[in-house]
Amino acid sequence: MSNFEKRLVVCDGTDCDAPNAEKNLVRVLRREVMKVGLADTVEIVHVGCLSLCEFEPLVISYPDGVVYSRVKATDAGELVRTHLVEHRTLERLLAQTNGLRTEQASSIDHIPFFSHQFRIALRNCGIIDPEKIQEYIARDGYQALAKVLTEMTPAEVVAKIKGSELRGRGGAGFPTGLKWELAAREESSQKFIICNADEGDPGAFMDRSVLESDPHSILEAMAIAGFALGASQGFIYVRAEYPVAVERLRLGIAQAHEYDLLGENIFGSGFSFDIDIRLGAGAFVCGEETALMNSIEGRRGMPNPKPPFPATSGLWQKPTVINNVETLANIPPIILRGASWFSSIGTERSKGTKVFALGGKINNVGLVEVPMGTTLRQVIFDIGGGIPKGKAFKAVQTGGPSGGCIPAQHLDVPIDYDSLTQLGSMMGSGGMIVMDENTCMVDVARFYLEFTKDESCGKCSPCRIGTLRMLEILDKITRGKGSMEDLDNLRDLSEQIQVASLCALGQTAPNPVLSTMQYFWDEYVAHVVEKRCPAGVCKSLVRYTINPDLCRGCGLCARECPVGAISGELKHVHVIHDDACIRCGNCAEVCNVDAVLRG
Amino acid sequence: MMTIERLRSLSEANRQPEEFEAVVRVATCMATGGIAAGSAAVLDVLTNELRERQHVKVEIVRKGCIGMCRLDPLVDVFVSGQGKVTYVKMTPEKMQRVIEEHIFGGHVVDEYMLHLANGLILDDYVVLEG
Repeated sequence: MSNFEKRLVVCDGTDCDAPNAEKNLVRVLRREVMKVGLADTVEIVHVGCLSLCEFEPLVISYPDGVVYSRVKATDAGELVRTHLVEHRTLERLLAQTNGLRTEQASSIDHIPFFSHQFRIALRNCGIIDPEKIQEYIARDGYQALAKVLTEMTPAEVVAKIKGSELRGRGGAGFPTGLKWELAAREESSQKFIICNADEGDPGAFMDRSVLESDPHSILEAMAIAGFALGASQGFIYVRAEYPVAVERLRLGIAQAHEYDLLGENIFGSGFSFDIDIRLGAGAFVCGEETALMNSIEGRRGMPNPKPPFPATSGLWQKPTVINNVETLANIPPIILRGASWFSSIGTERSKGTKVFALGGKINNVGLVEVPMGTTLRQVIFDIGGGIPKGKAFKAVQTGGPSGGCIPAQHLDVPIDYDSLTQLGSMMGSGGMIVMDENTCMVDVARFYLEFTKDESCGKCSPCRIGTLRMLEILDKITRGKGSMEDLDNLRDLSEQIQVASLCALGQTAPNPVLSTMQYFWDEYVAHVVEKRCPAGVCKSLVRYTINPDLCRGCGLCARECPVGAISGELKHVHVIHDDACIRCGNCAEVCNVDAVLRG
Repeated sequence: MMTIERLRSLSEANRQPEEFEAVVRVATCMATGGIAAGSAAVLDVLTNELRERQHVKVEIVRKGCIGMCRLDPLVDVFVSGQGKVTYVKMTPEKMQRVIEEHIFGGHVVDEYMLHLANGLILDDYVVLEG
């Protein structure tokens, strides 16, 4: 902890290429502070871009939180005297005077990040202590189960879920009520309900948060589903890589037993229900329902052809319903507040809300829940706070390795199952990865293909061999060895893998490639024809050169080059030797005058 | 056996009262995201400090994920009768100061609260030099 009493935070735009950046504002401020004898009590820190470039240079004073904007080096003396010596605010430079709305918030509840959200599945997340069943009960926990067991018939429960028009949140969007109805209709001595918590999309953590932050909502929903279907046993299939979630589920199940909310004769209704946990070993394909059931049964996690569908012949050939974590989290509120309440939220064919994990090049990395029909722009800019460092938005990836990349021209499309599918992507489980102008879309496609190639279980050849062949072609393209014929082959292969693969993993694996080819064809062509990576990502295609008009010969790049590929005398223009260059990009990072060109 | 009546009375009994028994209540995210950002270390500071001085009753609440992972670790401090103050991007050092000045001293540490300009968050700046 520093001993300074005050801190001036300076964001002067030198990090984000502001044209009139006052590079020496920090130095001038330090000098002025020293002049008035406050150097020991006032700390001055130079910080990276705060994405408020039009108001820069910004000076923020802590602890009082006063923000000054468009501060010039010539203002430093007056600012220091007025603010730090006379303890008055310098009205002339105050951010508010320049039209910047500033506030110091004692509670974060009202910031735009939360005010645009609508929380059903996440209703208790971050509100209650997940390890205390009493806190869940205090927020109407297990009331829905009580209502179902004492006031409703199984058929009424199914009808209510059907009426809510809830669709599966795991990706495909199958109507949940219909799934329940199909299994409920089957005659069988035993049926099963499975919670699919094998969340595997890169960057997605919706299910993990629900399990860790509100485990009882899942247990309650599974008991409700069990009653509706006539199942007395539930399984939660959860990744072993989620130890906190597993621990809280175990604790939750024990607490529910203690309160007689699981076990024999719940609420004296004669209905008995129990839940067991099964740990997944980290195979992505086990999120596919038939592979998941094979894994629970103790076999290798590989898919089976459908039909038969799990609703008729699932776990141990018994009728089985498999619901995703987020789907289940919606069940208790639907029971308590009604099907019409739920179906009044969202769009024509996509009801309720959707949870998204925001990641990638976005300011507010985190977890959000919005009504269906909210636009991508609202989620990314209003809630997500936009792109860091003032960079331009390029694309958003939804649906993980099964989804696609949606470009800027479709930012105003409402988020629902059908719109996203139409754009060549999909709703998926809720991962939303934002990409900025510095992302190479061919490289993105290659990343996802590498993932699906690794995760292909190998049972069917279109997926096992096809994804490897696709990856080889993409590798070739990113190394600058591709041809136009390769692009044709890539598309042909994609179409064949889509139709011939056994399960959804293979059927959807080409989507990231096809959607990037659809929207970013120019980038593929640039890689293949011009042997150029427009975003400067693909190492083999990047050339670093020094702009002689900008280079001041400071020598910083030469010192930072790990292979000594830069030469030049001090105060003279430096040169990068291409044959020695390993394309690490250090020179471009460290250059103070942006003289290193990447292209 | 659990009955509806018993469930309802449990629900009533556990609702958070406006004025809770503890004089101070401190809550933070203890889901994977919060823990990864350092919330466990922040809570440790508090737990150790409270073991030393027992004259103020402080309740520590381990919550789940509120979604604002960018500002983790978040720490909510409720002082009886004064409402909630949220501190963002906490560290063990910052927590030490909040314990001294807010929990025991009664003065909110403005500096660690959220600061916004045009709705943009100013607090998670990256120090380039300082």
